[in-house]
Formats: sequence, structure tokens, C-alpha cells
Amino acid sequence: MIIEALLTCLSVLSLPIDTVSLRGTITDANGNPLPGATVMIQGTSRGTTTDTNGNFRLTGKGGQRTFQIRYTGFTPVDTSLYWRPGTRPLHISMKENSFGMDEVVVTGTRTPKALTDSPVITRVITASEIHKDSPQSLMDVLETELPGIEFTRTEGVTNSVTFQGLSANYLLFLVDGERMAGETSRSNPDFNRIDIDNVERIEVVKGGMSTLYGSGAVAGVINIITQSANKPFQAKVNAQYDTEGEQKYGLNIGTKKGRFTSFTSGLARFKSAYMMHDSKLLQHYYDDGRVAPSDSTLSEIEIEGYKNFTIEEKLGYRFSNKLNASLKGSYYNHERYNAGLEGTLKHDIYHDWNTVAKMQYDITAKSRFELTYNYDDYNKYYKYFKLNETDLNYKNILHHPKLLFITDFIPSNTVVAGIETFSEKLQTYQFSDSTHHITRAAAYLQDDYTINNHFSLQAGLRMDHHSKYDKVNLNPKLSAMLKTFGWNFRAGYAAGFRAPTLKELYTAWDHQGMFKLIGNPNLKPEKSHNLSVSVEYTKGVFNASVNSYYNHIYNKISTVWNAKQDTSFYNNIDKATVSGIDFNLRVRLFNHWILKGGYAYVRDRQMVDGYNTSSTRPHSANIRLEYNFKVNKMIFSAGLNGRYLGKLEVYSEDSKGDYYAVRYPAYSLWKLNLTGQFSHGIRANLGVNNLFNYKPDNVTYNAGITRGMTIFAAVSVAIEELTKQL
Amino acid sequence: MAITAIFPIMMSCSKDDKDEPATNSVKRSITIKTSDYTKWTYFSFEKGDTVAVPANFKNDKTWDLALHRWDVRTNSGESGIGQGGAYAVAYSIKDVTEESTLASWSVPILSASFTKDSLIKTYMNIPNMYADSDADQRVDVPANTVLGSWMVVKMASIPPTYAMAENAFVVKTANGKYAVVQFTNYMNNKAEKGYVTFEYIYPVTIWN
Repeated sequence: MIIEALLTCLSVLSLPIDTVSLRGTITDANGNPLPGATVMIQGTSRGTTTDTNGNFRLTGKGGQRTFQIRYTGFTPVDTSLYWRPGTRPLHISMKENSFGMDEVVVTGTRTPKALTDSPVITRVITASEIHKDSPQSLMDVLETELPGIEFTRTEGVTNSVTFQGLSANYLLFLVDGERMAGETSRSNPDFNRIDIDNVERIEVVKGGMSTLYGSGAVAGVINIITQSANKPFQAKVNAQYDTEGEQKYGLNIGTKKGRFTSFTSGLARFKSAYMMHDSKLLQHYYDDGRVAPSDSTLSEIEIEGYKNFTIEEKLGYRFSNKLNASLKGSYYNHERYNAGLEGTLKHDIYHDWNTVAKMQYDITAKSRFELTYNYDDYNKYYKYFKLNETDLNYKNILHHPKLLFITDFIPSNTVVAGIETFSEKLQTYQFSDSTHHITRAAAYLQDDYTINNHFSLQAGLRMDHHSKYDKVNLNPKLSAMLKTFGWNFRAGYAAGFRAPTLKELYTAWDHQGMFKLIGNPNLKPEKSHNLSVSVEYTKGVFNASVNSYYNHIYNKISTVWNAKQDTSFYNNIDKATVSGIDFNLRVRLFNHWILKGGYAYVRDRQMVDGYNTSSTRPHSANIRLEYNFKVNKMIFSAGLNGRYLGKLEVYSEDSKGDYYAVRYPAYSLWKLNLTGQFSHGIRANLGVNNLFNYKPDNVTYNAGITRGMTIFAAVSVAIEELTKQL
Repeated sequence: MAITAIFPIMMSCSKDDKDEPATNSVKRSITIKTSDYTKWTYFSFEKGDTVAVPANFKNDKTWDLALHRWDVRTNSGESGIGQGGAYAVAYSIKDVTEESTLASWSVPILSASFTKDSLIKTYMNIPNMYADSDADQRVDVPANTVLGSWMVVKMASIPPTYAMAENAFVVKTANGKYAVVQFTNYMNNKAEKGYVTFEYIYPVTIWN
């Protein structure tokens, strides 16, 4: 021992240190090589990736060094050694993540925290879960991974989300922790803005998060974390095609060198438009046994085509060990059109400019200041081909600066304190005068108190001031977690609120003389109570959880008709109570098999005259069975996903005041996918969507709108692997 | 608001109007704004244009066609004292592209096959979609049911879908001449609905 220490001291003294090399092998727990794992020397831009046999060779300046070994889906390994000529080869065996339980999440606390230590229930959709099945869009991923989420068509507009029985008004979608401006309709952000190939992970926090995130985070937050550069050079191209003619092409290039990082990504997507037709008349079912068709002819629906381009640039610069800065800029353009004659005259153009600037100053390892500025400018145009002109009909700009202070100065406590302002400007054809704006300012404080190894508490309070009201809105939350022998028990209460939107305040819209929709400048914010209780058990490759919640929303904003039935006004007259429970299970079997499943029950009673008008399907379930195997050096994965949606009865009132139900049958959609990871960084997918060729009889609001089975193929090439191995 | 905008458009055929064939037949196109629920707009093939709304349209032979929303009148039956009527043919006016075809265009149908105008139900005011009763807000008006088949609107679809007939019609004018008519659009250049474009060849001869 003493001699060894002495030798180490001597070698430290024997300066100068020359360039030395290090070889090694990275394997999984069973000794299988991990090709493409990264090995970086901490604090430098020096690093490499492993070859198909999991081997690497690295050169650099000797001395005391920490090597960071990273491989997607595996727990990160940091290993420190004194690096000198003759250092023995490094053999690292990496442990596979137990379903992201070792992942670090940021959404629940606004500071990195191990998932298992997060006091709020968070589901992480990891990079491997996102990319394994070559998803077409964000919606694909969320519907595959989360039971209880559904994207439906409402008022002819695609992608209207409901999650745990609540609509987009009560769910907050964030990109890298930042809000998005604009909506497609009914407060749904434009989900097409998300380049799914550029997503590193998705954090889904179930429960009220208004204390940290403000208005709208009533039922949960879905935070989409995008990729950054993590190698000296990385580049990837990918292409995807399906038999329905949907196409997707992506490209990204990144570098991390010295103090500088840059990541550029681009995406193009295309789909052609078509019409879908009912195959049976939609029937109205009355309680007295009468059955009447909704119309004398079969209904149709326009499925829009699109051309979609997204480009994003992310720059990072480390000024010092304490000061980091980043700047993100992105441009999005989505051109949507109908089939037939209308598509030759007019297209809808959606475009957006987004800039996020961020400075981070680290006081200590866990204490820091973060200053961010989010500017987002979302626009909708009509483009008239015959007239060769465009017409702006919607413009929403937000400015959202915030300052966060995060500290662990008080032992066992992590404190997050923040101040922010949120200014929003909206111009829309639904306003009679041009533009309206509001500003909200907020201050908030949240403390995570780790009492001991088993017990922790989280408490927070937010104060919000809205430019329209004198009163300050107070929003508290409290949650607790007990952690013992693989069991996590969580319980929490969160108050929530939703500030009235500019549309709800100021709309003055005449719908072609048929009716008017009028805003109400005297609206109060909606308020809510959210209670949640969950139990989670993790042991090795087994993870199961049960999560129940109760949401009560009051002062809910709804539209009310006047006596003449020709004008509808916004008013705080409604309330809603939604509760539910969901079960999730993930297990790895015999090394090669993974089984994941989830079931969600939602109780949403929107009673009108004794009839339930809710359009949330009470039962839904997801299942995934995955088999991973190797042939020579190629890694294959076969996955079968199933998604079940239980039946639904939605009651509505007819013109005589009688109530009838529209019955949507239960259905399931299955997807089979085969992925191969070959040498030279080449990955290929072949799959079948809607395996059993399900086609709904009625292609309306709540039906699963699909044309039947499609086959898709995708290929991606990691250029840095390709060039290295050629 | 009472003014109905009219947008006559000359269709570019293979040649200018100067080179009209000996029969003096013309192939033309016109767009008429029909979005006003309360108005009918009258058209004369002889003039090739809209004409002022006659005080008593039923006792007037200066008009041949009239349009309201997707409804069409001919000067016949319940609509007027003229010799009008309409007949649906199985082919499209798009098949007629050459002047030679235009000049010799003839239709092998019997004049007895022409359908005269009758009473139909339509909205003469903006329908109140949320009226708290099942009272039919439509009223009886004279119109041509054959020409009315040019447009199928599915109001139960959300949003409503619109489909135009792919076939042409032979229309008999107030004075007993014939025209071939095909509806080609229901939108203006901004894709706003309620602008009806039809192409027509006038006059044409028919076989008896």
C-alpha cells in the first residue's frame, strides 16, 4: 500500500507528462460489447466512441483524469485514474438502466434529480423508447407510451389532446422547460413543431405543477427535452417512408470542442391530403329505445396533407468553470392543405420563430443562478395561389424572461426560488380590433426537504400577478415521499390555476352570420385542486406503479348562449371533477425480453340534465413486448405494441331538447417493428402500423381515424461511425 | 351590403373570341357570388352576363338561369313563363376543347326530357344552427331539381364537405334555345365558399 502510494507520488512528480494512450473495452453486464459508447475525458473535448467490438483507443495528456463513459439506456460510469504510459487497458461493464429509473429528471423540481428521488410522479420516456420504433411524430410516441392520452380531431382540426380526462387547457407542454406560443385550436400547441428525431427524452409529470410553471399546469406537465452535442463530432441522417406516402427526412450535425458546443438539426416531412368516408350512418341512440341516423348521407372528413420544415441551431459556450451560456434559435414552417379543388386555391401556413437565451452561473456544484429569455413568435397565414398573396390571420408573440436561484446551502434542502414575467400579444381574425396583450409576473419558492434516507417533503408557493387583476393569486403545493426497500410512496396536494386566454377575454367573432362568439374581459382565473397518491415498486429489472388522482376545477370558463341563441359568451360558470387511476408495469424477462404495460381508468362526469356529455374514453391500455437478440455483431430488436381504447358513449342534446348518445366502439391498434443496428452506424427499421387493419365505421370526432394497415421503413446513418469504420 | 358582386371571367379557350366558329357558339365561364342567403342572381346566355333582378321574375323572359347559394333556377315551371328546363348528361364539358367540336356540338336528347322548375325547400335566411326547436327554417321556393344536383353538401360532416357533379347539364333558355352548362367551382380565389363558377357553350343544337 505504502509503496504504491509512494510510486503514485513519484509519478506525479515526474513531470512533464507526455501524450499517453489508453485502450479499453466497454461491455454490458453479460460481457457483450457495446458499440458506439462514448468515452470522454472530463473537462476536455477529448473523447472517442467504441467500435463494433466495444473497443476504444484514446490519446491525451496524462495525469489525474476522470473518464466519462456513456451509452444510451445504460447507467453512466465515471472512472478516475492516474493516466500515464503503461496504464492498463480499461474494462468497463455498464449496467443497463432499469427503465430509466436511474435517469436524471428536471421537470418536477427544475433542478436535476434522480427519477427515483423525485417527490412528484414522473414518467420518463427515454431516447431508446422514443427512437426504437421510428415514430412519425410526438403524438405517436405519447400514444404508444402513455395510457390515458388521446389525440383526436375536434372541429376539423387534428391533434386535440386529452390526458387523464383533461384537455390541452389543463396540460402544459414545454420544450426544454419553455412554453410554446400559439395554438392550432382549443389551446392545443402546434405539436408539429416538435422534431421527434431531435428529442433526447420526454418527462411526463402527473399532477398539478402550477407552483413552478404557472397557468395551465393543472393536470400535469409534458416536458420535451431536445438533444445537444456530446461528442467532438457527430452527424446523422435519416429517412422514413410509409405506404400511405408519409415521408420524413432528418439531418443533424453536432460538435463539442473545448468551450464550445454546437448542434444543428433539420427536418422535412410530407404527407398528401385525402378524404375519408363513413362506411355506415352514424346513429343517435335515445334512452326510450329510438335509434335515428345523424344524417341521411354518409359523413366525410378531410385529412389534410402537409409539407413541414424545421431547422434548429443550439450553441453553447463555457466562459469559465462557473459561467455557461447557450443560445437556441429555431424556425418552423408547416404548410397544410386539403385534397381536391380547395387545395389548389388555398393552403394554411403555420410558422414560428423561437429564440431561447440562457446563462447559468454555478456558485457551487449544486447552487446556481439561471437566467433565461424565451421569445416565441407563432403565425398563421393563408396562402392564395391564384392571387399569389398571403394573408396573416393569427399572430401570437410571447416574451418570457425568468431568473432562477437554486441552492443547497441549507443542509438537506434544495431550494428553488424564481421570478419571471410572461407577456403575450395576440392578433387574430376573431378579434374585432387588432391586437390585445397581457402581462403576468410571478415569484415562487419551492423547497425539497430530505428528512432522512426514507422520507422527503416538497413544499412550494407561487404568487402571480396578472395585468388584468389587482389581486395576487396564491398557489401552494405540498407533497411527500416515503422510500423504503424498493417501494416509493408518494402523496401530494397541488393548487392550480389557469389564467383566461386572450381569446377568452377579447374574442368578438361573427361566424358567417350564423352565430357570434364574444369574449368577456371580466373573466376570473380558473382554479383547481389536485390530489394524487401513488405507489411504485422497483427491484432490478422489475418496475410497477399505481397512480391515482383527483382534479377539481372551479370557476371553469365555458361559453353560454344568450336567450336568442345567436350569441355565445365566455363565463366562469362551470366546474369539473375528474379522477382516475392508472397501473404501469415494466419488466425484463430472461435477458432478451421486455414487457411493458399500462392501464388507465378515467372518471369524467360532465353531467348535463343527468346525462354524461364527456368525450373521454374511461378505459385505455397499452402493451409492449420487445425481444432483443444478436446475430454476429448486429443487434436486432423486435417490438409489438398494442393500444386499446375502451368504448365511449357521448350524450348530446338534440333540437327538441331530448338527449341521445353517440356510441364509439372499443378498438385496438397494433404495431410491429423490427430494428437492426448494423456496423458503420447504420440502423434500419421495418414495421407495420395498424397490423390488424382496423378501420372505423365512422370517421368522426372521437373515432380512431386510420385508413388501415400501412407498412413503414426507416434508415439512419451515424456519419461519425461510418467515417471511422470505413 | 345589398350589392352583389359579380366577377365575369373570360375563359381562355384554344383561340380568342374573334375566331368564333360559324355557328356563333361560344365557350365561356362566369363566376357569380351566391353567398347571400336572401338573394337570387339572374343570368342571360344571350347577354353572357348577369341581368338586373326583374321585379316579377316569373313574368319575365330576359333571364335564363338564376343562382342562390347552391340552388339554381331555369325560366320554367314554378319559376317563370319561359321555355326553360334542364337535363343532366353523362359527360363533361371538359371533353370539348377543340373549336371544331364546339362548332358541331349537338346533343341527342328529346326536348320532353327537360325537367321544369318546381318548389323546393331551401334557406332564404342564414340558418340559426342553435335554434331551440325543430321547426324547419327552410321555405318553399321555385328552383330546378336537376340543376340543383350539381352540388352535394354534407352538413353533418365537420366541417361540411362539398362535392360537385362531374357531369354537364343541357339548359333550355327562356326562348327555347339550348346551352351546355358545367359547374366548375364553388369558391373564389380565397377558397371562400359561395362563389359559383360555371362554364357554358351557347348556343348548341340538339337532335330530336
